[in-house]
Amino acid sequence: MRLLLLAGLVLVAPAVRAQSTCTPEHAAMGHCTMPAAPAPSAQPTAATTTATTAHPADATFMQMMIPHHEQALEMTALVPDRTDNHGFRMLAERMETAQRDEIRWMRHWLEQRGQDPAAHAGHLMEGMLTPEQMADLAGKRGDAFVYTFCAYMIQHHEGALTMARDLFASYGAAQTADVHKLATDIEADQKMDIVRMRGLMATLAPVPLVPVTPPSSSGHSGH
Amino acid sequence: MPRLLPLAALALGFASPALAQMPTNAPRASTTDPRANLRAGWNDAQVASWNLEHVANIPRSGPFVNPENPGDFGKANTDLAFQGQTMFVGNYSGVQIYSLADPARPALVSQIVCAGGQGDVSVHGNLLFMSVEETRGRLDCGSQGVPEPVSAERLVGIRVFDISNLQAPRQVATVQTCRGSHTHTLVPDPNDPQSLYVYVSGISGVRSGEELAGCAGGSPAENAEGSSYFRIEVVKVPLAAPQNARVVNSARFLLGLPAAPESASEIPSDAEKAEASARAAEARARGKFTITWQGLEQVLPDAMAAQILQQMMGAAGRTGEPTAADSTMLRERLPQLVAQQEARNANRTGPTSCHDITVYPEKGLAGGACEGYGILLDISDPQNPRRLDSAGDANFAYWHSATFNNDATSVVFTDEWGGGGGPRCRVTDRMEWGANALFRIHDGKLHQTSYYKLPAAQGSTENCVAHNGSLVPIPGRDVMVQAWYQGGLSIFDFTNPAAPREIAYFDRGPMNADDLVTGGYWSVYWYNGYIYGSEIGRGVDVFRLTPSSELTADEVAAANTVRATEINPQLQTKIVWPASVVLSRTYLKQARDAQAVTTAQNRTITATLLTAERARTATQKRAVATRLNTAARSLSSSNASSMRLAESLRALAATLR
Repeated sequence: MRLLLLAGLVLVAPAVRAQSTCTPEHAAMGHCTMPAAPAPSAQPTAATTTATTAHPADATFMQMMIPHHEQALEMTALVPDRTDNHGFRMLAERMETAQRDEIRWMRHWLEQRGQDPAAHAGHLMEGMLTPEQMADLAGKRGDAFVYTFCAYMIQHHEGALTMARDLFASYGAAQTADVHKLATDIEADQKMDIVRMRGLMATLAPVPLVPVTPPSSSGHSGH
Repeated sequence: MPRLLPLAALALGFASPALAQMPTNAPRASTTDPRANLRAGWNDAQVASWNLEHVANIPRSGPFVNPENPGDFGKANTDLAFQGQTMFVGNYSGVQIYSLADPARPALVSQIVCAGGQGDVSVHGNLLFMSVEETRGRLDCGSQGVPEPVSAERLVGIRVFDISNLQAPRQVATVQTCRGSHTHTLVPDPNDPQSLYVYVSGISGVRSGEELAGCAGGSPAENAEGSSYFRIEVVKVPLAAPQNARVVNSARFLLGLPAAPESASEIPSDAEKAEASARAAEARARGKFTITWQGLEQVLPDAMAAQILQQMMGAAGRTGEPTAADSTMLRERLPQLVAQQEARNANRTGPTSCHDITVYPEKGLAGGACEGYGILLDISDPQNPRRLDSAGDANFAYWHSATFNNDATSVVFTDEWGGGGGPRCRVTDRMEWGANALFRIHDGKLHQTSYYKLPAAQGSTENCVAHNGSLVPIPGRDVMVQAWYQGGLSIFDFTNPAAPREIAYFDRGPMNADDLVTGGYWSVYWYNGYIYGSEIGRGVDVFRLTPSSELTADEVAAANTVRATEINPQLQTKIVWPASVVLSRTYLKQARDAQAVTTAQNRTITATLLTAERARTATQKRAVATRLNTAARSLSSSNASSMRLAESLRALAATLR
């Protein structure tokens, strides 16, 4: 199940206030240069998007990413009781830290802009584990758990990468520095995690996995 | 041909030794450090400082600050570059140009409003370079953004400004790249002073081929030569005609990397190898199958051997018990199977990009920080960088940047875990995470020696992780000043890269007590006697070193004699100390500490240097020059510190003649 970004519904780009000192002539030359004469208070505030507005595509991205990240925390919460693999536990701890911080950041961003952080709570986003997969993971122990965790988290992370790609392909999206940075950081971090988890899986015996979709095909693994 | 088992199956049961050896009770950041609980504030935060004088703070102004939102990341200050009496401060909204006519009091000259982030800057002659990676970046520098996913108005890549008139810089060139420019590095060509190369590191997704022809995704297996991943772009700038700057090479040194070792300690020692080989030989004698995996001989578990045998037989259309001939065949084929799997693994896990590359042209070397790898490059042919070695580390989330020591015998790599927006210096965050990893460089190879992380715990509303810095030119020592975002700046000595040690710091309380409002130092660099800090939310800070138990007055004075005409952070140039009494005195103290001078030599040289300091007339100067040369001759040439001292005495004598 996958939710589409609401980008297509966006008709109006965020309002822009022009720089009084940056005339169209300046812009035509390729930039605006401001001599350092006037006192800061005499100059207008240049805000492409004020702190109180949110582009719908950006807001939707975060509203979807919050439950996506929250499921990752549900997964990492299973780790301490199920494996003593120290290297893996370190990896999981680092992922947990990253996802927890990002959830906090996204909630704050949405609340500041009057958006509901829980707008997509309970929905199954791209790459998220099905209830069957979660049950499968929770039921495993030891190396089988580690292998399964990595396989499902790779599936989960690749969903986040798809969500980030979709964001950048949406009209008007990621046009503010903070959203652009968030999405780019998510891409960079999760790509690295995937590489690490693939490396870890390569040291373990494979175990059966539950596919994302009901096994209509030949019962292929879920990642 | 039997279907190859997944590598996972081949590696069944293998231990991961280094991960198991990682310390479980690692040291934590200090919560009793004066920096641990500073009062918050945008412009009035509490401050803690050690061995540094805070000389000035120049807040951001005009279109580069949002008074209603101090943490507006669209106006964040970024990297710095220096030329003569000018400092360039990058920002997500453009570039700010400051005069350093009074180096202790930067004065704003002009501001280039040109959004696009990160806005990292470099300067060469009358050209200023700027990195653009955000999809809102426009060819015309406008602030309105580019809402269309595909647009002819978008610029991501490199901007080039003519700064002949600092009051009114002009954009004279743009170079579009497939993944934008997160950072860039200027690389002069020693054989061609008319040209300049720019290494462009892009970490964003690949642009649509409809927007920029030739841009395409794909793994090495799918699209090795055409993919916009697994490479950096090399731009050539003809200095007389910068408008003709263009991409001349896609340097693909990221292809075919061996799987990164998870940490330096995971590389098996010779003793481990010998022990493993003995075990394997003993197992082979009992009829077991063995393979060599990542440099170590291993016994193939019986179940796996049986499984592969069955597959081989199945491919030949047979079932039942394997014959002796089948076993021989498996034995012969195993090395090939392993090699194929290793090659496959390397292809699958290679980095898609570099975050940052630091070049050191005088040594022909570069350090690439590339996702899961630290990479050592040979750049003697700047258009075609070549990989010498690579390192991996399970503790490193994201290799960020590199700084060589002056002799290029060691290198500091940073890990920007989380991208700089997260609070990663809390007491709960491990000291090996989001830290520096220090390496010795020997025979073109990297050898990991230690970690260094900001030793003081920071709060959960302070974004903090290892970030940009530069060498501080303390003669005879390797010292670096480094930005840790809201962790402040930390100066550490890594003369012994196995035992880095903090020697000075400056830190403010968080931007905000209750929320994480992004701020702190993006970059801190030494420039001509001062340390300049680019603070994301608080403008520019200026510092001077103060003598202390960690730094003598002579060491500080000698550092202050070093003069550079152009400093670009990712382009390292060799530090050269002009002859001076303070330099020789510094080397004398270091030689004394190393017991490389006798008590008598120490007494004589100390007195001679005092005389040199006081010499006024030509006669006095000639006389002391003779004494300096005599002292230099008396020193042992078998010790590095006494040789360095002797050389400095001769150079000082030459200035007095």
